[in-house]
Amino acid sequence: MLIAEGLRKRFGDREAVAGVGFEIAPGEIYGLLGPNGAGKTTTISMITGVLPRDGGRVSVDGIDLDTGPPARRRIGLVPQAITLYQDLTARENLLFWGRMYELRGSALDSAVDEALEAVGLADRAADRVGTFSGGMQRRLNLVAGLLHGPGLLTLDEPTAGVDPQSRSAIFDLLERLRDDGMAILYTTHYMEEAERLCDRIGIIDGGRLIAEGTRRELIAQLDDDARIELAFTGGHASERSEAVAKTVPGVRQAHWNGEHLAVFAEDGSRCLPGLLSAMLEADLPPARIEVVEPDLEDVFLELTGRALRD
Amino acid sequence: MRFALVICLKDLRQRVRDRTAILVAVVVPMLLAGLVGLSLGSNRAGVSLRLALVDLDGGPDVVRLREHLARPWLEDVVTIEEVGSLEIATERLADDDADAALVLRKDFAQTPVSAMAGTAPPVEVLASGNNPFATRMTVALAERFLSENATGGTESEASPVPLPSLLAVSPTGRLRPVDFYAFSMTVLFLTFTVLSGVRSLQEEVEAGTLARLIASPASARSVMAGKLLGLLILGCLQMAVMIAATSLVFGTEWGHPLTVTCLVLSSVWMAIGMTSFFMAIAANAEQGQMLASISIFLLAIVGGQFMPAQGLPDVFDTLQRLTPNGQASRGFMDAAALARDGGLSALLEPLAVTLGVGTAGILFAGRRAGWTLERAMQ
Ligand SMILES: Nc1ncnc2c1ncn2[C@@H]1O[C@H](COP(=O)(O)OP(=O)(O)O)[C@@H](O)[C@H]1O
Ligand SMILES: [Mg+2]
Repeated sequence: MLIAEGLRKRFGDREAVAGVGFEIAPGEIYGLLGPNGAGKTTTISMITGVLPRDGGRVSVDGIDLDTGPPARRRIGLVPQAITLYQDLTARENLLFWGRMYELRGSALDSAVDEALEAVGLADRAADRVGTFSGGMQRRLNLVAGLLHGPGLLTLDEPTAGVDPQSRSAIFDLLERLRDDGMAILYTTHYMEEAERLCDRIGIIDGGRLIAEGTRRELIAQLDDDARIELAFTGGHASERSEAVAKTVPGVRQAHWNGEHLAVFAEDGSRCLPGLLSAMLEADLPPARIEVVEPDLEDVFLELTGRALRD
Repeated sequence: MRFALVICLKDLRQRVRDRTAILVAVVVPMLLAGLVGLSLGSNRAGVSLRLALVDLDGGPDVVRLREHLARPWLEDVVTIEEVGSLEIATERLADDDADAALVLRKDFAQTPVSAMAGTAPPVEVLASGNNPFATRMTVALAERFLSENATGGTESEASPVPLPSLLAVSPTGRLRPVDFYAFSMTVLFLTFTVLSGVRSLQEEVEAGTLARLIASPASARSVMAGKLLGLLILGCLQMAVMIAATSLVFGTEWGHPLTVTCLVLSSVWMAIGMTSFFMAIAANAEQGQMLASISIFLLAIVGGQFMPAQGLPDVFDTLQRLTPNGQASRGFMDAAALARDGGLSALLEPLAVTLGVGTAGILFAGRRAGWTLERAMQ
């Protein structure tokens, strides 16, 4: 459904996106996972034609984005911000966005009714959006991009600041849409969201796609690697433990996240004794040691040496 | 075009929804015009013109000039004293016994008007310096007389001097302060109303709704066209309501519908250009609103929208002509003054200035918009 190739965008002398490409099939949710500033919004903006590209190609359903309206009406956009008019009612907002996607008459009315129903806002249709809670606005923001029945739906961090209830309502809706054959591009900096929702995940950092695959494939890249978590008593452990861990043979990455030290080792059990004695030697006795099954967080750490959320 | 209409209607719906803004847009200027105008005296107080007439020609023309000045709508305003020489006229002015003097030169009758251009003016106005309003009115009357003289009583395209910029003279023959304020407050608050529309555009950039608009099948051009159309209609609505309200409440006569329509459109265009310019050079909507509001007030002061130019030094007249909002107010005053004669030629200057400033501002803001969008996408 979507083919993006070699997308590039510069802002001044900063390369925000430096050659990102991926494909999304119908009925697939593709997650673009990366920290703030990784280039997710810029990528989505180029795919939806909001920002001009400095390089690369985008085609949707076999139609080049540069053909304009034919491609654009196949794309739905749910921006990162709440892009609704606060002084208009929920229904007025949806009617407006429907009209901007060439819906008219009864097709428009029924699309709006369906959308309001889908996110449980039918009874608030006549209220101004400004009176809605953050979660309600998020849900409305989402369906505003869906009215015209796009083949590709792009969502830029659609769960920012929502309550757990709204979040799972959003996830349910997206899963339904996927099962109906929609291709979905979903950006997030929450590892759990990508793991739970996405069929395939692209990890983006510094404007580059550094890994791609299903959750299983990505974690398999870590081979037999394991993550060892060490917690310390007393406030003095801090970043020093990170430096100490990095000197231990077999340790590939170590990261102090403010609470505990995550150590990334080629072979967890082999490495453990060395790690422990190094800590004791450095007068950093661990209060707790745990070997954890790796997750996407570890994939990111392994690839970049940094945590996903800093 | 369809997209443009959809956007335009949405914008108007948003504007109309803001009830307090509407109240402010109409009620405040009405109150200001009413209170200030009426407190300055509702009548022709201080607006009489004492004219010293010097006839050096001695021909029959002076009779026609007298007839010209004796029109019914001027009779309450102008008192004429015929004096024998330039010296006496100058003396009258110096003693403040006359507000201005009108001199009919020698050989006036013999000189064909077509040959007058470039030579010494056949009719001269002596200004007193302490009453520029009287001067301007006298100049206007003289020019009118000349242009009628040239073509035997009809409007002339060959008039050697541009047609008058006359102060507001309502058909009863009175320039009332309340009319002056009706014109200037309408223009001032037009700018504020348009500013609220322009601000909402900037807010679309900031809120990201513009990104959604751009992602839609609508072309960037139709998005801009819709926005512009919405602003135009908004401005015209505000003008229409103010014209209706001031006519009803104060009895202000705005002039010939055609000239007023032209001025309304050009003033709205000017207001769009001016406010989008300020919005475009500001960092965000909040700052733009501040910058524009302050600038609009300063321009209103400089442009003489808070006090009638009469009795003020000439420099204020020049300043008024240098500001687009001053030109717009002036245009409306002139249009009212010329109501019975119609004629757009006198309004060429205000029309040209307001349209020019409007276009420049809109082009500037338009070029800035693309860049602003990229910046706002962060
Ligand atoms: N309009 C812009 N002007 C300058 N720099 C920008 C702009 N938009 C984004 N950037 C920069 O590009 C990089 C990627 O930004 P973005 O795509 O918004 O990241 P993400 O959505 O993953 O948080 C960041 O370093 C950001 O500061
Ligand atoms: Mg982003």
